[in-house]
Amino acid sequence: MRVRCVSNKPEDAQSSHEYVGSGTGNNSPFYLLTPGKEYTVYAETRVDNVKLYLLLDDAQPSEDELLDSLGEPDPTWYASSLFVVVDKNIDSTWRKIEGTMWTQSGETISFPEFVKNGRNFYSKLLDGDKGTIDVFLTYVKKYKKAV
Amino acid sequence: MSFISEMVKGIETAYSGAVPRTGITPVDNFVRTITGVDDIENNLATCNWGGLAVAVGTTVIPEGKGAKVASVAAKVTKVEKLATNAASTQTEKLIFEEAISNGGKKVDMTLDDPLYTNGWDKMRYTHTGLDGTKTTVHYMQQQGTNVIEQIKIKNVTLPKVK
Repeated sequence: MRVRCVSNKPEDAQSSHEYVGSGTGNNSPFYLLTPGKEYTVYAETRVDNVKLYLLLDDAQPSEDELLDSLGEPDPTWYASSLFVVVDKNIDSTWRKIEGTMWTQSGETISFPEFVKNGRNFYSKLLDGDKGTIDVFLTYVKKYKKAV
Repeated sequence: MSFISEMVKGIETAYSGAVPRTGITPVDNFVRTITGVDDIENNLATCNWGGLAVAVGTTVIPEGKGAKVASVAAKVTKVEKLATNAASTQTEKLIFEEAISNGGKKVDMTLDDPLYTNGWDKMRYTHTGLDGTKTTVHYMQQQGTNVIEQIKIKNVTLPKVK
């Protein structure tokens, strides 16, 4: 699944969830996204009736750099209202579970390792756990190849 | 005012009243007492930002001629530069300044490290340099006291060549 950014303005995010969008944790008034640029979605979730995408924003090394071990993946949740879907095909291995990383309500869809243990998977990913990074990079490689 | 002096001033403001925490693993973190600005200037300034000082308890003599930090119980956290692209020293300083003064963004709720299971938030802060370089720092922040630990510079993303 790929999306194209239509806005990097926080006011267009239609969500003020405290865990959404690391873009407010920076020295820029904008999210670290580029309008017009396409991004691969690694998970989708609905929390408090707001749909969010998990993706690698502009603060991240490129997919090629990640696959060359030049940096670590640090994906971030962003509100879907900042994007339009350009490729709605979802990986056939993706699974849906009830609940989100933050709530028991809502739903999340992503690759099996993520939905099986989403909170811990994400936490370990951000902490730089090698095994978790390797799993994530298999999907970076897979989806990059599919483009 | 030097950068280090400004940093100490920011630390005093942000973490006044906080107390040191025990149970830190010596391998990755260590706690030492910094006697004042000069101590930081002489010791930390020469370590090329291999360590960052975060005050976890301060006693400050009131402002006035000759006033200085009397005792800063500081925790120095090893910085793990996980990216191979080297950030400029100035960029790292800016990031640290911003992380202290502006704060980052919560990124997670579930923390596996037993040292940070309860009452801690994982935070993320990204600095965008004038040249387009983006540097992301992660750190743990204790709720209530706002003590910061486990600072990691996670990614340094150089501007794309056009």
